[in-house]
Amino acid sequence: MDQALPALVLNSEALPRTAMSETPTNEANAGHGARAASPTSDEQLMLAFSKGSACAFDELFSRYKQPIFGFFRRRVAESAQAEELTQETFVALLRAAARYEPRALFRTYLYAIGFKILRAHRRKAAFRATFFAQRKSAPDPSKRDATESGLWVRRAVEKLERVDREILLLREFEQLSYAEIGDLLELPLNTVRSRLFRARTALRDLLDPPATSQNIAKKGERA
Amino acid sequence: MSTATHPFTPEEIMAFVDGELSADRANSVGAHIDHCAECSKLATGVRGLSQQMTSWQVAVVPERANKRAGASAAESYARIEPMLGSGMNKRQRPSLRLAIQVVSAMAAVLLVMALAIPNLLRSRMAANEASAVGSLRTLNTAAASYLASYGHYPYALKNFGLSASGIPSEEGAGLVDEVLAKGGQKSGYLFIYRTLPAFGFNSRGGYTINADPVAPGKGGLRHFSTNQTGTIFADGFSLDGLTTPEKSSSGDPGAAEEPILADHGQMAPMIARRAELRVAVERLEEARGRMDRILSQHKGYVAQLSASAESGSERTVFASLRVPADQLDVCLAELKKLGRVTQESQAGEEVTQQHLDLVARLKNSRNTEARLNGVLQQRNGPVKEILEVEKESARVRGEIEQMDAEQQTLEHRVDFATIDLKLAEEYKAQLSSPAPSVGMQLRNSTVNGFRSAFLSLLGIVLFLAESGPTLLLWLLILSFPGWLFWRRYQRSLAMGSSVVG
Repeated sequence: MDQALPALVLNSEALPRTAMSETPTNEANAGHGARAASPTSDEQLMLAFSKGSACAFDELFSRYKQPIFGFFRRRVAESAQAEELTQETFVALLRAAARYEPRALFRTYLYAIGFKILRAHRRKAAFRATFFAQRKSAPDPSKRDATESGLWVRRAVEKLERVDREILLLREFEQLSYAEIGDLLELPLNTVRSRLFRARTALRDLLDPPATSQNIAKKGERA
Repeated sequence: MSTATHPFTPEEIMAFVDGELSADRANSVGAHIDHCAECSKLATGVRGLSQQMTSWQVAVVPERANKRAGASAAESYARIEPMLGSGMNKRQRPSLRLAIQVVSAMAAVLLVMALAIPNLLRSRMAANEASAVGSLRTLNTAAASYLASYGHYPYALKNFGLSASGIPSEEGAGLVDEVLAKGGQKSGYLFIYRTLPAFGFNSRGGYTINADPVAPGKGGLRHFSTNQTGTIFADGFSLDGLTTPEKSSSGDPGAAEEPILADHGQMAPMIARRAELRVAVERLEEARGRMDRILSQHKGYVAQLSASAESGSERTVFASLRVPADQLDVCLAELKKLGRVTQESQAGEEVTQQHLDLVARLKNSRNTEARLNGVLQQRNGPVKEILEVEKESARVRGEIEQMDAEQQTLEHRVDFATIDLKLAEEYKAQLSSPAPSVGMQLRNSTVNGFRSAFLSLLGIVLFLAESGPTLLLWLLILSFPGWLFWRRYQRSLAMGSSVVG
């Protein structure tokens, strides 16, 4: 898959995403200052773990527990479900360790596992809803995390077409490249790019009215 | 914003902001953005949107989740530790699991097939039988059309089909499909057509068509037949239900002696009646005595009788009774009083045509014999010819006697109805009768089990041999759309229907 990756440009204007994304980048792992305490790359850590190093797994767990939790939290109704799925993902990673081969970036590999687990979770939920008349879990406002924010953004994202929405989330929050998104969703690279552009345009249109009204309100306050 | 005024598409500007362009392209886009206010605004918009999305944050992983994940990971790690770094083949475990899955799937498929095959065979036989009856009806209609067009019934089955010239004619009227007309075989049944000569009032002759299963027990069970009357028989019984003979309903004993000509030049039907009766009785000996009394009272007799008294089951008597046809209903009513009726059925086979055919052939043969006797009385030819005439006369005499016997048998079948009576005593367990030993029961069960397994296996093999190629073809045809559908379904699951957080 890494052959399909585009040649990344160092002088390209990538946004600083520390506040938005919890996903550690390879540059950060390689010692660009953000993670000076863990200079080993994810792939090296995974190889070390597949050879029996328990410390390597601890390090990977500490690096990715928050990103993976965030990945699930933005896609399932309950925080407890996100916790369960996060746990399942790392257990699956453990079990697959013996078969690990560094053919792609570790984070792509990990998100692919997470994606499969999410798919299985949705399949089970659909099955239960169909045959056991169990209601699909919907978000309960009273149980929302106190620290959750960005309600307006969330509602706007919900209105996007589902493939566009998934691409946008993978790009903005999981920081996956276009090629990685394409591999994960089995879509051509150009489709990913055009759909991402479409998603961003649609989201901007959805977000603009409140932004405008907020600006007006701010101006009013200043006055 | 268009490519006419801007060398780069908006998507490329977005890809530049995302760092997804090659070095050369990124340099070009960067230089363009520095000079183009519109593109610069677009890039700023993309950055702003990403910035805006940062407001959607989720909580940090709860401490309890950390602990649970850690405990679960430690447990899993302890389990997989021996495999890590031990040089164990990375593909061994999945292949074993895959093998188990494949074997399980195959076992499930075989089980389903073992359950489904007998039903499939039964369904196919029923379908073939229905098709055979349908074909006979078609042939009857076609024969009537042929008679109306050409004044006689077809001489052979091929006359029903279309002639070589393609124009409907006496040789080929084009009334039925070619499969039936030329091959005589359709849906597992073989159709045999025979013509009957014209004689007496039946100046147009007649025909009989038999439909027999090509592979009895596989392609069909019952044998069907029909004739120019249009009645279809299954195993000798009319499919249209029992037709009460006119002679029985008229109440005139003399009417049963000779066939009656109806007003329209047709004869009253001769019907051989048959009834089947199963009666559960309390005491077998007493019931049998009463049966004998009923028979003697109605001048009937026992054609066949067998009794069985196997241990562990009820005692039964099976008797084939013959009673005068006009006494059948009365006899049946009295036999029903022997006990509790568990099954009853009645049927009638029309043998009018068969009888007429026989009478005509007999008459011809007698005429022939009379002529031969006349030749013999004259004795004016060479000895060799006289000997030949005598030989021919003896042959004709033999035929006459044979046909005479057949006629008598046929008339007897009509005059005397058959009752297949089964008397079954209600089962009473006997304390004295020793139960089979455990070992014998085990042996019997084992033998039955192996036999059943073998039959199931045989059924599967036969099914695969017969339907395998077709199933494989359909599998190949359907696999591609199925794969596409599955992929689409998986993708739709992956995308989810709504986003929450």
